[in-house]
Amino acid sequence: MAFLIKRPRVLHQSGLPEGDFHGDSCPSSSSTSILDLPDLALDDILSRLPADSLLRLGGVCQELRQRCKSGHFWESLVYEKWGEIAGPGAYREWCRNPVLESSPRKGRTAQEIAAKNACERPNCGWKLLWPSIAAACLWPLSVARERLMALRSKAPRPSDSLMAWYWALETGNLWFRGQVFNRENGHVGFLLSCYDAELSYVRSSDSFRARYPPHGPRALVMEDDISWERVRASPVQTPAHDLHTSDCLAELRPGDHIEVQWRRTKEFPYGWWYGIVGHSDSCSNAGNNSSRQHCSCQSDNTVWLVFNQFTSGSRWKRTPIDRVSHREEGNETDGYYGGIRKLRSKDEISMWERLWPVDILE
Amino acid sequence: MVKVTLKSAEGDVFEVDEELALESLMVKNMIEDVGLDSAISLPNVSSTILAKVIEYIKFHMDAQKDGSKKTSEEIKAFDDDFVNVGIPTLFEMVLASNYLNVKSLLSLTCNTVANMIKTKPPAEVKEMFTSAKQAKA
Repeated sequence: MAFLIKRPRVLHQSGLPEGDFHGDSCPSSSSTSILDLPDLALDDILSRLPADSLLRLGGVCQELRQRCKSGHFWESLVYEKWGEIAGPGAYREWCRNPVLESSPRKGRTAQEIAAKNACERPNCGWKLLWPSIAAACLWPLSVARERLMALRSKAPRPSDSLMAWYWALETGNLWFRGQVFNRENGHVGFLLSCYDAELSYVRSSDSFRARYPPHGPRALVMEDDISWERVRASPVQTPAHDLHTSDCLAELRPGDHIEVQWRRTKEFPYGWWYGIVGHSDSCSNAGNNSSRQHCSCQSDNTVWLVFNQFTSGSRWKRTPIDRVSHREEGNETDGYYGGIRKLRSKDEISMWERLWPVDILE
Repeated sequence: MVKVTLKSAEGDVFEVDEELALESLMVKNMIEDVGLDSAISLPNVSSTILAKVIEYIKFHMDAQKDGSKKTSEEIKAFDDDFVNVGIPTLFEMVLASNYLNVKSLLSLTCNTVANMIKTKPPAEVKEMFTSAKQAKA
């Protein structure tokens, strides 16, 4: 029974579920215990465990603690639960500065210090997790290479940083950067938009809290009870106050689904607004936004962005942008239209369609 | 039908259909290496456990045959009953299915252990480790 001796607990300091069977030494190898099982079988068992169980099992003894920390298990747990919400960008941010506490009075926990020390990595499994995202948009190759060179000289990434990341998110201690659809509970002024926010998970209600950066003099806005469906990881690296560089202008054609940055005034942060590319007023396909029939709109210098959530007469319904020179277009009355990203996946498009308002907007 | 002779750790001999024996990738490899003339010796598997493994494979082979009337509920009931054993036996079955390389049985037994860890309160999981230890000590 020697292995039942209580040990000081490390992981529960930030509100993690407490392991209740911590022990010093592992069951001896002369008996049949879970640790006598071959690696393949033991890994098979551990890979079937949810996060809570894996954490608790790590409390049994040192050997299991080491095993249960393995990034191999946590990588899939992280991906499964947080993959679409807290992207590689949020992870990198956390690694740079893991203390984004909800309560600033609280000092760093041992876990966070460990995470901070631990997390010097680009070679961290994200490339395995999200190869396309990491390679395509979030982590330009040159940056990745640069970081890799810079970090190679440092200590190798310990295998438990993904576990720490999982629990930093799960406990809600961490505020991470993400985006919220239809912010402020579908406030009419924000329907079919997606705004940057700092998010934190609320375990008890399985929802999120959001802090939106202030709109000029307007105070910082908080929102509670945000469902999973309304949250996403930022699909681009561009911060909320920066103009996104459009890389799709040349190829835009009627029927394409897009998101465009828009801000009310130059002091405000951008939000991403959903729209489609339409035809010009003089085109024979005008009014038929989805037509793929060949017309000159595809090569016109003017690209019409159409926002069908608004009525025909609304000043928000259509806006022209210049295919060649567009960077930011607008004025203090109609707001400013910034960078455009073309939606290329059906999932992204259907996400917006799910959020479509019941009533058309003025 | 061709028969294969399997010899347990205690030296007990089990004569089974070749088709059944081939479900163990380990036995299959041994047959490919040494042929069917002599008994296949399995020094890591006790007679009790080997009998259980054979029972498991036989049931599932029958259930998969054309004309089998086994419903998925019946198969599940068999599996549930099959792994409803003490922890030492369960661990021995994990070891045996790993050694014999019977993937479906390894998956079933590992899943059972995982479910125990998942569903039992911490004190009982601790108990699970001790009882496994003490039973053999």
